[in-house]
Amino acid sequence: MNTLSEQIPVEQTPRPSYLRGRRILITGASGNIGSAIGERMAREGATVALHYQNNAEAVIRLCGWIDAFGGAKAFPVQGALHLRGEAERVFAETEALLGGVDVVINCVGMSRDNSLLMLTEEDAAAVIQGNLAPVVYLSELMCAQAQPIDAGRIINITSITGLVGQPMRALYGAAKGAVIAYTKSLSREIASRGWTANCIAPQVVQGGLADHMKTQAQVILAGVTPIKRPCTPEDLTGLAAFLAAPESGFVTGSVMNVTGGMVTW
Amino acid sequence: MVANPHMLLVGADSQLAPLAELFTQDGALTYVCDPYGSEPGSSKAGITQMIESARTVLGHIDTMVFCEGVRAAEDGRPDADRFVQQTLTAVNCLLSSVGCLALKMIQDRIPGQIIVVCDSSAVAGRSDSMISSTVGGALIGMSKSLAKELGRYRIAVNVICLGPIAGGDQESRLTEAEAIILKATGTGKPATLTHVANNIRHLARGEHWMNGQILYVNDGMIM
Repeated sequence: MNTLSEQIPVEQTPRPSYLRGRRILITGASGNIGSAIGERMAREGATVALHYQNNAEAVIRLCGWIDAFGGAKAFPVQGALHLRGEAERVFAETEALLGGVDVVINCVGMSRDNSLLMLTEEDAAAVIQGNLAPVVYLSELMCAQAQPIDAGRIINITSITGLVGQPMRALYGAAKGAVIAYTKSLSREIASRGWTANCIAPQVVQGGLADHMKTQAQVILAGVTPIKRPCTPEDLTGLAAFLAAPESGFVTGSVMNVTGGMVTW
Repeated sequence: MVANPHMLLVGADSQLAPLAELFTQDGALTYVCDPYGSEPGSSKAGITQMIESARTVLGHIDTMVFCEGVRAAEDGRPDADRFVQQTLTAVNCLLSSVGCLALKMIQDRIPGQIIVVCDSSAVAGRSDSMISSTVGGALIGMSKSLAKELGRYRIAVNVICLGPIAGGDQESRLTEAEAIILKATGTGKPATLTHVANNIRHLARGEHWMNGQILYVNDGMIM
């Protein structure tokens, strides 16, 4: 894993007090986006719980790097978040470890890409369950915490596919579209608490699902992006940090495009 | 231009079922089916059978109006599992319907219009219609991908996004904010089924050169 830690010396911690005191659960932290966000949150001073389903080694290694920063703490939590019982257990463990959850950043996701005529009901179940269920379960659990939470934040990593579509990705578009709409409705419900819910919708991100795209598709993508380079996980971390912070309290129900200018509407 | 479209309406149980009569009065041939209310059911095989029945009656289908995105709001706080179940049900229904129909349209070499109708909560969110909103969001996200995939076959996929309809569920549940916006930006009145039918008819006629778009029929409530 080529993480931020391997590129920037530990001493160059950006703003160790920006998220100090914030208790953040990052799901999918063994993936490229989740690990980058988890690392950034810790560098900004947050205490983080890093969720994974299968890749324990990656998350435990990341926790070790974060612990080496000094002043930040990271805890691994394991579970299959598309299953309700597991999501409840993961959240309960996180609550116990951190003393409460101020921010949930949902980075889990999966896709089954194929032509419309080849997609099956099993594909639909897997993609909807894999993308929407974790978001709904954890958002509901976040809202059900017994202790009062100040400046609660729910940040869902979706995809530009949910906004503008992509051929051969009908189910992924459906799932991310559902997450976007759910987040908007949730934002209205939790507004009275002073909480926010937002989406970050990146273009195809290097190192994740993008690795399975055909070369020709990647070339086309690069061609239509004004900022002529691929989107990296680090392109999302600054925005995630802002949305996790108390100072973003008037930004809610929004979908933030991170597309290098590919989508400007 | 398709003067008299051959229309399949999916979702006879929705608030929009009376649309069929309006289309028929205008010269369209219509066939209404309810995937959830009766045999052969909402499975892929059931929907395929339903579409075959519709083609037998209509001769061919050049327009599908998918109304399963318009639902009555659920009272109280929905259980978390219902979001996933309802979304999956609607996604499967649209996937099966479009999959079967698109294949027929391509085989028959007929330009087609697929019109997905949903509630404006799918775009703007709504705290008392969270399931309707989530389902609608899924249908919109899916429709845009389908539009990109099917456009080359001259099959357009567009979405009509409705605000309050006179006599409908949403009209009776307008929030204070929505009522203020409606009065400030438009006439302050809900749409009628005739307004909805006019927009669907426009898309069905096929002269619009639109694909992957959302038409907001809400008097400016969302811009």
